[in-house]
Amino acid sequence: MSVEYLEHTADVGVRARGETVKAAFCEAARGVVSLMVSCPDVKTVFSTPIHVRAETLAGLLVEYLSELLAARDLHGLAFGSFDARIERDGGGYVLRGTASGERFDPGRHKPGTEVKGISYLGLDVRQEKDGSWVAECVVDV
Amino acid sequence: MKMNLERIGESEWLVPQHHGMRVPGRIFADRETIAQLEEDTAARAAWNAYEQVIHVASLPGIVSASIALPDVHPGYGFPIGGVGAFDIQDGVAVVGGVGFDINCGVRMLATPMQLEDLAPQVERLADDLFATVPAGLGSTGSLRLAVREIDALLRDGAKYVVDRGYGELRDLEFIEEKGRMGGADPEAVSTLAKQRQFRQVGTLGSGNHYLEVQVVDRVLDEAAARAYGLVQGQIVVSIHTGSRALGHQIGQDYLKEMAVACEKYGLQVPERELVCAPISSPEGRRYLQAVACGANCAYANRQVIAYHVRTSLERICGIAPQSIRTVYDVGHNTVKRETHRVAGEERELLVHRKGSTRAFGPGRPEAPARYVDVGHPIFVGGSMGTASYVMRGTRTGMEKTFGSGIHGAGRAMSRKKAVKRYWGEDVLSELSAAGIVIRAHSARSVAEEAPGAYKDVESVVGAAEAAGINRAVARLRPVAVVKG
Repeated sequence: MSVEYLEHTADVGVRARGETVKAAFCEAARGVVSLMVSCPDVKTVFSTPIHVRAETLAGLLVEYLSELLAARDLHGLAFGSFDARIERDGGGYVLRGTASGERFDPGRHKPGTEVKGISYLGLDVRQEKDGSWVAECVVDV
Repeated sequence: MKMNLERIGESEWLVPQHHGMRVPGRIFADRETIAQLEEDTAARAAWNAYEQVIHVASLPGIVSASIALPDVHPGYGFPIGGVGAFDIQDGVAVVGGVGFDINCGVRMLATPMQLEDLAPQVERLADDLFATVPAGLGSTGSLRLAVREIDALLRDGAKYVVDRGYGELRDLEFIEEKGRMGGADPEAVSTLAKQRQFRQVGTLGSGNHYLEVQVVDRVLDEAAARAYGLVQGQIVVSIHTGSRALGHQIGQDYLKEMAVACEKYGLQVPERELVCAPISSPEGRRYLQAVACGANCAYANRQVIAYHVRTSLERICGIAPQSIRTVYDVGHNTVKRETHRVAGEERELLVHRKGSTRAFGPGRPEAPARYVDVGHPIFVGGSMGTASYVMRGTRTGMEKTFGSGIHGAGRAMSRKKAVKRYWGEDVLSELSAAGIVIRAHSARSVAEEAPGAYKDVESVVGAAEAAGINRAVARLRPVAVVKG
């Protein structure tokens, strides 16, 4: 599992890899959230349920990541760990999972830059030849 | 891949129509910026401003040209520093032409102080501003607005907060659109967007947002500086921020909605980030109503922060808040309905400016009465710790760019590279050594915003002047910087 940040002049490209599509999604979440806080420094105090739906896996990635940004603002949260289950749902996909963390603490969480939104630039979710998955997008900072 | 580019003037380049473009591209830039565009194009860089200019030129209803200004660099969809004007009848509204930070912009306040008045107190002022103005990730404002109150703010913009004691009515005269963009309908904004904004009214944000105390270093256009009330040695304060979480959520919501609209109306777009809808469609109309709400949220946000700056100056420097005047407030991620003369004919257009400012030249009624003769000011931020400029639009700018202006130095290096090359604490030390007092909430963010990550503002300003589209009025030097 891994996250790579891609060269983009004004914003940030996030490329996440995982053995399964849900692992790639969780890595993408960790990659995006790591721009804002240091995930290893975030304790697991409570978990927020995440439940999103989209027609395509790429759309699902955008829904998932933007849901995490909304939860950050609605509840003042920092997230440190993620789990997810992705299933087919009618003609589309549904993701059910949790994002775990605690109230944001600027003293402990080493704040970085606020992510403003998940753009469609460079958006892709794909399975590689070796069976692993890649989930990537550019985020606005 | 090679650029298809012809030099047609001083800092002016034409991309002839080709490859599905409906209009040519017009890039205003110096040779160094063109060289960077060439390098990215030749390397087939994944995100390429030249290619983005071409993509915008292929959108339905675009008029005259897809324009890029001298601070151009890759964005998402539109290039940053990009301008696209669309016919009201058969053009489209493009989410990527506004972005997530709707009406991000700059408010400038002028104080009655000179640098020597401030010098003994600058550290204390920086500390007080750092403590008073909510900034950085997770920061919250003192004005908490429930959904119904947010609706009123989205309709009324800056006036909503002025009526609640944040500043003065005369501030409104010196805000673009008088701080209230018409056509705002809170019904077009999701409840989630309003809920996200609950604690964020009056907050600065982070990244490239800042609050800077500056001194007018040099007056370059006496008549315009006199109209703006700026003199050499004067202390001014610039506030750079936008619509915060509300704007971000509007952008996110409408990216999804416009993707559906694109399919519904059979619109072919060269890349997904340019999803759009016909301006006259229900989706297009709703998006523009939502953008107006986002714009009003940003005007109100900057008005609240201006109030905090005034209280800070009163506390530390003993300056009466009424003596601190709004010079102007102008956005640089916007879309506006405007009338322009195109090929001898008056046309109603929807003008998108992404990382670009409206810069109407002299003689336009949209400017405050005392600025009409010279045109309203625009603010061009350098990088952290470097010079900034007050500029204005020109008649040439009106003809060639729909009255648009540069908004900053423009990034030259990715954040990834900047964090590798610069250490936040080192950047802070270097700025301190140069006599700039700096307070920052995030060392990591400081590294990303290091001066070396940006183009040289002098050359960007020089290119805009050489092309005749914007004119420098005053050069400003930073004295103190607060970063989120």
